[in-house]
Formats: sequence, structure tokens, C-alpha cells
Amino acid sequence: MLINDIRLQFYDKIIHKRVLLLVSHDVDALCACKILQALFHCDHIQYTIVAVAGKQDLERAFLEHSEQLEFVVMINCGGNIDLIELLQPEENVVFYICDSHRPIHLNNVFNDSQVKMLVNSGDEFNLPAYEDVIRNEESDEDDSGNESDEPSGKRRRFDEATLERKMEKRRKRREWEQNKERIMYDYDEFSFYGTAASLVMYDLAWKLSKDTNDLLWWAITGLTSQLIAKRIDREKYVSDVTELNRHVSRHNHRGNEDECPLSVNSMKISFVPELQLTLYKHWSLFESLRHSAYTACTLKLWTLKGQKKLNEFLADMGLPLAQSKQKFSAMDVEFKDNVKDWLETSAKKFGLDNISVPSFQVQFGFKHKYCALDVAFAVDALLESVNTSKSAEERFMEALDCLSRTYIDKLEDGLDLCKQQMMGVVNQVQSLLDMKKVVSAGPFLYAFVPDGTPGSKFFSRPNCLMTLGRFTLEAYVKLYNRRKARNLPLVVTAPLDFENGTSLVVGIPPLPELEQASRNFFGKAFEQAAEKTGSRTLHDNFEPSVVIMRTEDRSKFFDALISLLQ
Amino acid sequence: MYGDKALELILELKRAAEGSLPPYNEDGIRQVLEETSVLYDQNQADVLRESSMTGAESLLSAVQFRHTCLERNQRCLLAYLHNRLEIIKEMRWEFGSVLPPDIKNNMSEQESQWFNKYSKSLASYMRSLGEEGLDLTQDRKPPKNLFIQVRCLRDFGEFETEDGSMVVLKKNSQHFLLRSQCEPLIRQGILEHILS
Amino acid sequence: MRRRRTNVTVELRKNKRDDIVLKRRNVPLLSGTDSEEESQLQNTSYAQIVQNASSDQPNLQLGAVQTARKLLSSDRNPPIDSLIESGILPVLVACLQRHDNPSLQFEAAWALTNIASGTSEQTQSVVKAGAVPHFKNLLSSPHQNVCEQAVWALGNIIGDGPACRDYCIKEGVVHPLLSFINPNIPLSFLRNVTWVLVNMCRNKDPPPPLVVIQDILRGLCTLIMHKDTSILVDTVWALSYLTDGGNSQIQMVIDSEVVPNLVNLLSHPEVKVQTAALRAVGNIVTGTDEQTQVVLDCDVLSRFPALLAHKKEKINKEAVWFLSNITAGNQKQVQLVIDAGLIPDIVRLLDRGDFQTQKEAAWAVSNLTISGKKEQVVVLIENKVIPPLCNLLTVKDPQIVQVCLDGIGNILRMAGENYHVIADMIESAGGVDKIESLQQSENDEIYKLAFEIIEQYFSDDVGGLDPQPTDEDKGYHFDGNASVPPEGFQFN
Repeated sequence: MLINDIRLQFYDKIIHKRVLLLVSHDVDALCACKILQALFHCDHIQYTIVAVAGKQDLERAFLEHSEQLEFVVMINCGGNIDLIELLQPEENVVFYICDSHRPIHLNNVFNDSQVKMLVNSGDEFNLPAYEDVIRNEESDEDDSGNESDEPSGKRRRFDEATLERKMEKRRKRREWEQNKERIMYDYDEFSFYGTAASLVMYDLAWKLSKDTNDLLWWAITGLTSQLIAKRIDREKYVSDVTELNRHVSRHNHRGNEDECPLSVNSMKISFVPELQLTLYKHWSLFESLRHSAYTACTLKLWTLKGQKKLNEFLADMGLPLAQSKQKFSAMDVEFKDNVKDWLETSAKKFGLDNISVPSFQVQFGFKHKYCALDVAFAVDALLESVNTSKSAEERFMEALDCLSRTYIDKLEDGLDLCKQQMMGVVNQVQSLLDMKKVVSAGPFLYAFVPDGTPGSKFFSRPNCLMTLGRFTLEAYVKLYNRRKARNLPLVVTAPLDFENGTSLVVGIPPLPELEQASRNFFGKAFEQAAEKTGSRTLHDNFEPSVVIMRTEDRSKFFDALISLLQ
Repeated sequence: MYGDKALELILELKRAAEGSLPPYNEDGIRQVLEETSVLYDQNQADVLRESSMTGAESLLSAVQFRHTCLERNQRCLLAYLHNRLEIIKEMRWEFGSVLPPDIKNNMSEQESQWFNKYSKSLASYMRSLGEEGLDLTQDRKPPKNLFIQVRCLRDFGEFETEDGSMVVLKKNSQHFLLRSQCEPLIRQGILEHILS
Repeated sequence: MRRRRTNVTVELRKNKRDDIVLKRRNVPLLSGTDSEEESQLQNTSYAQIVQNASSDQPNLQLGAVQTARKLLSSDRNPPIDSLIESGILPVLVACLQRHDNPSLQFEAAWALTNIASGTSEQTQSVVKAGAVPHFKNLLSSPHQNVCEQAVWALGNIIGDGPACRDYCIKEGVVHPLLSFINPNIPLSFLRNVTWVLVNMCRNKDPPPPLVVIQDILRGLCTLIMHKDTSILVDTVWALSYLTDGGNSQIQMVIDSEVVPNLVNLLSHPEVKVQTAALRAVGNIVTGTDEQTQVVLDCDVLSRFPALLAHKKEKINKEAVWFLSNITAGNQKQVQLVIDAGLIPDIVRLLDRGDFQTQKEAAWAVSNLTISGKKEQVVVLIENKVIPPLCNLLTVKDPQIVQVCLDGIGNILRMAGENYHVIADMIESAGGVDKIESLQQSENDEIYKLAFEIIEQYFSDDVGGLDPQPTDEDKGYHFDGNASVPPEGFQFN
């Protein structure tokens, strides 16, 4: 059931109760979790948090904690799977799901008693009508005889009219089934994302009049992470940002800048158009330009020509090469202050129209100033760190911690990790392009990360592999500029676990789709290809376009995929 | 120098780490008492000699001096004993009526007896409060909040809370629970308090 | 050793989803609306109908009987009991005898058919009203619709149980029925006749008289050549019921020479035909070794790769059940299964099938370890049977645990001096722990078996024996280097 009034139908129901909080491994979920935790602390709602990386984790966590449990809140998980079927809960357990994955599974939508979806009322769901997909079984009693194998013992003879009626009913039923299949196919075909979970939670906080600057900053981070991962398009991002900006103005009185001096405990958020250059404030401008997908691909930095262009660009900006290679914070003051404006002006000449994106930055006390993009990148890097000494839950906890002010120094670790990741990504893209490893398999492009290369360990993490995929696709399309290639999607695989012989496979939709609607059809495609070939695949991740597969089944899987998508 | 031994006792107590009880310095006390005894005897002797001689004022200052040393020794001893008892008293509030063995060994027998009596007094007083008695030794500092956020460091299994519900304490899960219920587990190292 | 079919046990999965969803909404029923006719019908009382049906005015009488027929043939609850109470049965039976009015006979027969299609009590009240001899007479009616309706009615009566069946046989319905099996008869009629034959064969407590079985078999042998799917399905089901009645009946079916046709039908494009044929031949091979051999001689095993890979799990399951009864036979028969290349499929289904299928596969494997010789058991090992066999040791069904333990024990015993090659495989597959814990089982048989296995094969030091086969042990060769598949991901 989709909830309209999040306060009445959700928050009021769990006050004074204990709640199990299942949180997925992504930045938006973490931010939403922090907001919800803050609300729970206020109202003394006891809770237990468990991090879940996939459906198996979800099942296990539910089973372990299900004793005497009545309320489960799920963040960014559970929305797009048949929850009741998977978990087989007791009748008194109620699930509140705040999941930005779409499409929402219809059994969750039409379940009135146990599943409640916490959604933003402004989102579009394209839900089919109830009658079109659920059939009332009572009227089918007479057809039941068809189901068993053996011939029936006694048979009644029906008269003409009745026989006709039965035929008509059967025909209508077949028609309905066909219609339902068509509707379900259309509904399930593309997977995409709705409003960020952290925005829904912030909205709840606002309705409870408990919203603060801290909560607002988390909502901003969650939204930004959606933009970075290209889960929402620019249009939606801008509209959500505008919404958040209203709250920012409310909490951070812009007019009184001179009157409120900074103090150690203060926190100020400001609305700032930001450059889409990865971590440029914590890196050198030159490195940042090289490691940001937008600039690297548009300027085609893989080619010699492209590198010359980069120098031209810097020259056009009026920035000496030496300065651009300096750490940003160490740049000369006059350059540092003006580089943003110069960049924006020059960007237009070099085809980088979208270099700027509306965003926010925060200042904690005297020392810590961060922009939302940086924080989102850092938290994501911490979540996906390939440091083998840390288990998945430990990484989760670390990432969760670095969002609070007390542990803000961990953010620095995250920034470093992110730089390493981006360098790994760029190197890999370079190698794929140089060695022409991105091949066309007909209806899609295909690339695989070879085993054993030093950077390949980064790509055993789904988000990182998807970043690589998007980067590679953009680079390829812009480099070769063939009309056909522009509309092709990309499938990337990387080795996951050498001992078990498994690989990670992700599907990236074609660039225009990515930019405009972020719809992905690989979820269904992977499912069907696996079924057809009997490949041993694990569709465990909540993102349907990510699967784990036995490396030896790869070739027959891809053959099936090719024939499916033609 | 007279009074050195006594001073040593005091210094020993002062040097002891915060909240710990050094062993009862039986030896030191005996030495101080001996010294005191010697001083007293000498004074006695001098006073006697004094009373038999007339006009001999020269011994008075010696007697005065010795007496002052005597009194000083007495003060030091009393301070030593008194402060030890204060420490022991504090330990009752900290640890309860059963002390750790290493502390018990450091108490003299009289101190142990005193401790037991004190313990009993405290217990009967606490029992007399309210209907069922009130344990004053808990929560001596007012807590900032009723609930705290904790993270589980080790697998512990199921834990039943006051209201009867079950919490499964698995490694790396995070919980928000009543402070009073978490405190024993925090002390045992199973849970870790997380600041937000 | 050979096992008859047991009825399918209840499926374990709770499927609450539908219940939950459907309870909530109040979607109006989609069933058909009343037609004008039916509302008129309900206004006439039953007593009135009965009265009119006994009238000597032909139109009134026919109209009444027709009314009764229509009441009984609408798709909602037919008022069978109400009509019986109103005394309609003698009236209808009387109408059956009116050779001067075939329409009347037809309508009456139809009404009685529908009454007999209800509960056993309702059917028997038709019999008690003396209808059967008249139906038998109607089998010779010159009017085909009347004949067909009589056939249908008799079908319902015979289908009630052995008592009714034997009564009808005594009344002499068999030969007229069988005479309908000829090329001139329309398809729907023939389908009805075939269906009646199914009901004749259906019950085995007691079975029909031998003579009748022989006659019916002759008819079935003709029908099995027909191309119509419904007829084939019913014919084969009839044969499967006959073969379910003990070895002598199996022999009769074999003697009728219908087995090659049955085997052919295993590859029929229609799943329903395959299902029935598989059941029939499956029943046959529960008989003696010789009877089993008859089926094998028809090259039946060549059909099995397709059946074992069929997408319907029920077919996989029955196919493995069939094979389990072959591996329970003599060594020659076991060899035929091996030569047909079916062992890999059996092991695959043991590893990754539906649970019911896994159960049958466990039997198949275990039977092989009992009936087969060493070289044949080696084939099982080479096909990596040990890990899935060990995996099934933890299921809740004690019978299957016993079967698997038995199989493992037999394999170990057969390995003789080289048992530790097998023991190593069992250990790598995590089987030793499972067998050890089975020593705590409440089931006597299981704990005894487990105990013996542990004591004989897992308590001594394994280091001493030389794994290389000696010269005396020609003929078998346990490959100590066989790679054991790693345990790991469970993929869907």
C-alpha cells in the first residue's frame, strides 16, 4: 500500500514501539538512516540497525531478528521484490519501506495489511489498475477441473447456453491474462529510481517540525549521491534542489551573514553552484579534470589531441599549467578565488555546457568546509573500500559514522579512497580504449576487466563497476562518435572472486537514456538470459542490473543476451 | 629527623594511584608509634628531671619540641588512617559490598571489619528508603539521556529488555536502547557507546 | 525394492500472498448474470415438473422433462437432491423406455446423466431406480444422440465404484460399448466411449473380472492407434489403471502387445499424453524382472534423456521413479541404464531437482548400489554422486535419509580395501559431520546405519592403506585424483 500521510500512517504507528531498521549499502540509504535515527532519538523510539547488502542478507537479518518483532523499516531495499513471498512473515508484522528503487513490486502496492510504502506523493508510479492484474478467484470454480492430470470420474453434461457461457468465460479469462501479461511487461520492463529516500525522511522530519540543519545536510548528501550515480536525471535533480533550497534559506538566514559569526559548533549551509569536477577542492585542478567523466570524455583526454585541448582549455581560462597541477588549497589566492568563474566561461567554448550544477556546501566550525559532491563521493568510497581487513558491515558502520560531526575526520579517509578509486577507473578506461577492448556484440557493447591487473580489485564492488561502465561508455561514444554507437548500451564484467570462479556483471543503458530518464532494461534482460541458459547467476543486489555469475557460464549467457536483445 | 617516617606514610598515600588502596603499612605505623613512644619516654624523663631540679628552664624547649613532634606524628597517623577509610568508603560506593581481592588484601583486619560495618549500615539505610529500598550506589551522576546508541562488538545472542522484547546482539549491529540496560553490557565490553 | 507409486505429499510452501490480497478487495463477482430463461424456470416448482413429466400429453411431458434437464445442466448448483425428493427418478426411468419418443428418451437420459454425476448417494439412487437395464437397452437405439447419452450416463454410474461397475457389467453393457469402437463413429461419441472404459479400469478393489479386462484391452489396443489427443490420453490412463492392479494384470497388458505403443507415446508432443504414458510404463516396471525386460526391449530408455530434461518437474520426477525401478532389477538392466547415458542426468536431478524428484533419485542411486556390480557403482562415483548424496542427509524425511545412508554404506562396502578414496570424497563433501550427527537420530535404523559407517570407515587412521589398486583387483579402478567440486555459492 502506498502511504499518503507519512506522519499519521507511519510515524505515529511506531512511537513507543521497537523497530528493526534494515538499511541498504548506498549513500542515500545511509543519509536517510541518519535522519531517521535523529528522529528516533528525539522520541525515544528504540531500534536496531542492520546493514543489508542484498536479498540474502535481507532474508537472514529478518530471520535472525524476527523474534517478537512487529515493525520493520527498510531503507532503499525491499520495494522492488515480493517481500511477503521472500520473508514469509507472521501476520502481525508490518513493513514500512522507503525505497527509491522503481518499479515497486505490485504485490507490495496491492498488499493492504502488511506492506506500507513510504513515498513522495509527487512521484509518478504508472501503476496498473487493480482489476487488471489481480484476479478474484471465486468465479473460477468450474474451471478447476482442467488442472488435474487424470480423467475425471464423473462428468455433468452442460447445455448449449451454459457451454457457450463457459467458453466465453474462458475466452475472457485468456484475454485478461494476455492483457495482464502485456501490462506487467510494460510495468516491469525498465527499472529506474524515484525520489531519494533521504528526501522522504527529511520531509517527515519537516512535517514533525523536527528538521534541523544537520538533517538537511544529510538530505542534501543523499540527493547528491543520486545525481553522481546518475540515478536521476538533471531535471529532477534541479527540481529537488530547488525544494531543498527553500529549507536551506529557512535554516540559514542568508541576510544575517555578518551578524552570525562562525563559532566552533556552528553549522552553515549555503547554496552554491558547483563544478562537476570530482573532488577538485581536495586535489589539483589538473587531476580533477582528468578524472571527471564529463570533462575527460568531452575533451577526449585519451587522445593526444585531447590532451592538447586540455592545455588550450587551461590557457583559455588564464590558469598557468603549474598552478593547475598544484594542490587546489595551495594555489595562489587570486587564482583560487576566480577559477570557478573562469572555468564556467571557458567551458562553454569547449562544449562543456553542463559543467556547473546547483549544489550546496557546508561549513562546520572553523576548519571543515565541504561541498555536497565531495561528501557524497567520500561516503561512497568508504562504503566500497576494497580494504580486505574490513567486513561489509564494518565499512557500513564507518561510512555511517563519517556522516556525523563527531567523526568528521573520517571523511578525509573517504576522500583519499575516492581519489584512488577514480584513478583506478581512469586507468582502466584508458587501457580498455587503448587496447580496443570495448567490442560490439550486436545489440550492445561489451567490455570486461581482465583479471590480475592492479586496479581490478576496485571493480569487485558494484557501484565502482557501474561508475567504470558509465565512464567507459561515455568515453567510447564521444571518442568514436559513430551514430550507431550512440544508442548502444554497455555490459561490463569484472572478476569477483577468483576461488569461486565468479564475476560481477553490470548493464549500463545507452547514453541518451542515461541522461534523460535513467531507465535500465538490463534487470529483466539478465533474468531472462539466465533462465534460458540455466546459467548459475545470483540476482542478489537490490539494483536489478547487477548480477553475480559463474565465470564459466559467461559465454552462453551473453549469447542468450544477444539473441534476446536483437 | 623526627616525623620523617610519619611523613613517608602520608606521601605513600598521596602517591598512590587515584582510587587504589596501597597495602596497610603495618611496619611504617609501628615505626612511627615507636618513635612517638621514644619521644614520650624522653619527655617523661626530662620532665621528671625538671621537677627535681629548680630553675632549670633549658629542658623546657626540648620537651616542647619533642611534644610538637609527638603531636605531629599523631596527626599524621590519624590522617593516614582516616584517608584510608575514606578510600575504602568510596570503594563501597564504586564496587558494591564485595571488594576485589587485591584491595581486600591491602586492608588491615580492623579496616575490613570497619568496611563490613559500614557496608551493613549503608545497606540497611538504603533498604529503609521508599517501599522496597533504593540502591543509591547506582547512577551517581545524572545521565544525560534515557536511551543511548550502542554498537555491538561481539556476537552475544539474544538479550531480553525490561519490557520483555528480545534484542539480538550480533556483531556490527547498532541499537538504540535504554541506558540502564546497556551499562552492564558496556562494562563487559560487548557493547560500545556511540556518540552521535 | 521396486516401489509402487505413493500419493504425492503435500507441498510445503505456504503461499499466503493470494490470500492476503484477495481478502481485502470487494470486487464484484464476475460470474454470469441470470438469463431470462432461468428466472422463469425457478418459478416452476419441482413437484409441478414431476407431475407434468408423468402427463400423457406428449408436449407437456416433453416440456417438463426438458425443464428438468435444463435445471440440471446449468452451471450453478443443480438442484439434484430437490428433484430426487420430488420423485423424479421413477418418472425419468419410465421415459427411458418410450421408444416411440426418442426426444423424450434423450432428454430423460440427459437428466439422469446429470443426476448421476453428483455424489455417490445421488448416483446410487439412479441405480436403485432401475435405470441401468434401460440404459443398456438404449445402447442399441437407432438414434445416435440417445446412444451417446446412454453411454455417458453409464460412464457416470460405472465411475461411482466397483459395486456399480460390476452391476453394470452383469447387465451386459461391456460388449455393446466395445462395439462402438469402429471407424464410423463420430469423434465426440468415441471420446465418451473411451472415457467410460477409463472408469471401467479405474478401481482395483476388487478389479474387474478377468474376461472383461481382456475384452477392454482389445478395445484399448485399437483406440491407442487413434490420433485424437483426448482419446489417447484417456486410453493410456485406462492402461495405467490396469497396470496398477498387480503383476497378473500387468501380464495381461503385456500380452495384449500394447507396450511398444505406450513407449512411443513417451515422445508424444502433448505433455498430457507423455504424463499418462510415463505412468503406465512406470507401473509395468514395478512387476517382475521379465515384465520389466519387456519394456526395456522396446528401447524405452532412449526416450529418457528428453524426459529427464523436460521442463515439467512432475515428468522429471516420474521418469526418475521409473529408472529407480530399473536400477532395482538385475545387473543387465542396470547396465542398460548406464549404457543409455542416464546416470549423469540422475545425479544432476539428485543434486539440483525439486525435492520430490530428489527423493526418487536417491532411491534410484541406492537401488543401484544394491543391485549393481562394482564397475556399475564406479560409474556413479565417476559422475560425482557422493556430494549430492551427502547433502540429502540433512533433510527431515527419515526415509530418504535412510536411503541415502544405505547407498553410502553400500558404496563404501563395495570399495573394499580402497574405501578411503570414497571416505575422502565423503569428507570433502562435508558428509562425515552429517553422518556423525545422525548417530543421535531418534530413528533406530538411521542411527544404527550411521554408527556402523562411522565405526567401520571413519574411526581408524586413514593414513596407512595404499590407495593404488593391487594387481588382484582387476576390473575396477577408483580414481584417487577425481576432482571434487568445491562447495560454495548456491545458485538458483
